[in-house]
Amino acid sequence: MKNHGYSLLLISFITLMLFATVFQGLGEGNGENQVSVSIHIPSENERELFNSSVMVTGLWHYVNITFDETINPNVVNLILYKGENTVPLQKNEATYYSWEYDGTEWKDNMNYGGGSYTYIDQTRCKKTGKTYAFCIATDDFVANNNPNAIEYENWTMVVKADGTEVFSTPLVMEEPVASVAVTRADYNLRVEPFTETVLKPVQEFITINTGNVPLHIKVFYNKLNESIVTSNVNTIIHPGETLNHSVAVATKRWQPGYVSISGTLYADALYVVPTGFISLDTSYVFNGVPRIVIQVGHSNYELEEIPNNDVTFQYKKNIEMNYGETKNVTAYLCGNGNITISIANSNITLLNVWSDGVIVDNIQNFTMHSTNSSEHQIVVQLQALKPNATAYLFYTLKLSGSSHVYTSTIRVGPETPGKREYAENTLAYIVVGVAIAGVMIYMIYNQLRYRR
Amino acid sequence: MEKKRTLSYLTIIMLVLSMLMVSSPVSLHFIQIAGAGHVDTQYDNDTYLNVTVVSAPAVINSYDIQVASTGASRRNAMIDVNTEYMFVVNVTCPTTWQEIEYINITAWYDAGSEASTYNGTAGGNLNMFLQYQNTTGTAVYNKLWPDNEVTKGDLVETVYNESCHVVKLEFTPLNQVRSAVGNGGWDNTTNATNDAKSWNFKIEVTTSGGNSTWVKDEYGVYRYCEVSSSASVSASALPGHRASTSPGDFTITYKANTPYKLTVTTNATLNRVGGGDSISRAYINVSGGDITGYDSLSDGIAYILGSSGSYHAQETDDPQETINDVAYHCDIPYGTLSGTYSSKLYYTLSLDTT
Repeated sequence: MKNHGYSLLLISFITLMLFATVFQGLGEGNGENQVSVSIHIPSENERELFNSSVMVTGLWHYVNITFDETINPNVVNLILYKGENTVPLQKNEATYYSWEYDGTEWKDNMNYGGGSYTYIDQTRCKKTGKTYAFCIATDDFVANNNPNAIEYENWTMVVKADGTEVFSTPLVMEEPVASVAVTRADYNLRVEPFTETVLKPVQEFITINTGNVPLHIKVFYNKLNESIVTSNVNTIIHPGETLNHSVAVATKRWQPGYVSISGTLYADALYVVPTGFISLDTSYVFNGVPRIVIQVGHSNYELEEIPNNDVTFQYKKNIEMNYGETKNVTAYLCGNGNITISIANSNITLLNVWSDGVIVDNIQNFTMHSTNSSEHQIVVQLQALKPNATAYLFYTLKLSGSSHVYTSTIRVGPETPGKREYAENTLAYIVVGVAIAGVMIYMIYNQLRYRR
Repeated sequence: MEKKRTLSYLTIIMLVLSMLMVSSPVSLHFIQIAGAGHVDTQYDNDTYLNVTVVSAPAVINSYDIQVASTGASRRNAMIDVNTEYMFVVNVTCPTTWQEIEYINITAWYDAGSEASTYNGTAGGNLNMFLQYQNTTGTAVYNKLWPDNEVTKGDLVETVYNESCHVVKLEFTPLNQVRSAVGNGGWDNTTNATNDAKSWNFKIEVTTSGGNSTWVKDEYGVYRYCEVSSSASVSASALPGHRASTSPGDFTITYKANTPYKLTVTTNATLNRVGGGDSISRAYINVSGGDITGYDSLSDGIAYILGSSGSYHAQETDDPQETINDVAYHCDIPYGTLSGTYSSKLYYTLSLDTT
């Protein structure tokens, strides 16, 4: 009876081992260890969603199938179908695809495009050792119902070796969304007049691929295209990638004024499969990206481009002065023309005016012979004799029959208490000293006169 | 003679005294003292002494708008959409913090005019109202406006002492919050709104005594744009017939925080894949968007949004827009070879930079 029990235990153990061996063999037969598959868009990495590989519809993909040493097929089939585990009864571009390599030729078994288009690129398919690289695509069949999301369908991928299924896996099929965002592309730069330098702003503009389609980006400028260097362009921006673009502008000996440069950013969808009778690949063009405005002028100066003339005027809009201070305030003219100038002041003392270094006799009406090859200086010497005052300096420029008035606002500080006390004490000491001297002289005079 | 001598001595004494007075820090004051006479005792019980204790206003010691992650100041500087920022207000109240009822922060796009006011032009992309509410004993952060154009972050409050707190209100402007690139340079003067085409903001602290204290200043917002659509569109028909995509086949999603135009065009010809034939884009018409009927690409451009002479107004509400009625139609000429005719489809987004 005891031996019978041992025999039963032994039989049970052997049975279990047999089951384990059989089921392990079935697992290998399903390709878990015999076949490995990777799916990716050319130049992109493999992506996963919900632990499944992702394929973007309407775009070329490489499907690389690698067999181990136990499988040496003559014919390899790659099949995609909608749903999980059950092949659809109706086979069309929205439900079923099949490709084949028979050792000599890469074929699209479904031939949906007839002679017009195809979902296999035979020129890019390749067998290397035990790896079969299919370059294939599907139609863009996923409906776009939600603009806020990339929509998808659940599909199945199957690999057959000589007609026997050796691998299957779920696959997420996404709609192809070409999407790009741009920000921080507004630049306000400044360079001194007639100065050659390279402006390198710290600010970088940003492009973001917010879709699932690789995009090729490039930038052109409407002027000075050869003088502007933009980083990270003429390249591919991958799905989900953010690129920072620095800008460097080589300036020339520009006369004062504003230089406005408008860039155009192009983003072209890549690896799009042409289908249908007319096939249009999406490309985005952003006008005014980036936009660069360079102020050619002096720091902290207002720059005015006088309308309808090639003349610029630069002046200080706000000036701070201490009470009692004397200050020379410089303004700059540039551009071709004879310009009649009038200068007026309010609430402040105007001492002198120089035009290109020559003192001006009549500040109400003098003429500058301006050229565009250099700047011409108007220097006004001011003295602040009213404390806590807001004063004004008015420049009136007349050219081509029209007048243009520009105003500098001057804020004069308060009296300094320490200085005032010191001045008052000094005055008092002088008065007392004079008085003492007078009395002493008077006493000496009396002594000399009346003692005698 | 004696009189003159006396006069001289007197003069010297006066002079010495005057010198002492000039140099002395001691001032002489003339004080008039009233003599107190006898006053009879008298009571008047109908007279009251009313003492009104006036509560003092709070003091805004400092304020700023900063990048939430770094604390970098963006006052009189540009900010980005889709990035979190915070208003930082350092306030001292008269006695205890319980006197503070509200710190209201309103911000609005000035549209080039410093006379503009909060909600002067309505719209979630043009106005913002953040509030620190302290009326219930527990401070609450309210985003009163807008709803989905700006997201609210955290309230961070630092207590320095019973009367001085620093309040940080975090927020994130989303994609279509109006861009404001300023007028060429930023005046860094505090408590001033003097840069046109900016966002003005006002921080107002109200106490339980009814006093309010406020400051105002500015910041800018970078332009932002984004376009999204299907990577391709296709249509089929026989020669002599019209190949059309259907309205709803694809959606164009876009985000822009300034007025814009969205146009579309193709290459001059759609070339047959493999060669041998082509179709002129003059055979292509576009419908949908702002287009009434069809707009032919014979002139090389179709305006989906906006027109040749004007920009499409920036959306005052919502963080993004969609168009799902755009369709393309190609009248395939007779005699065209069968095949696939391909071209790029250029969507051009032009932003108003004025």
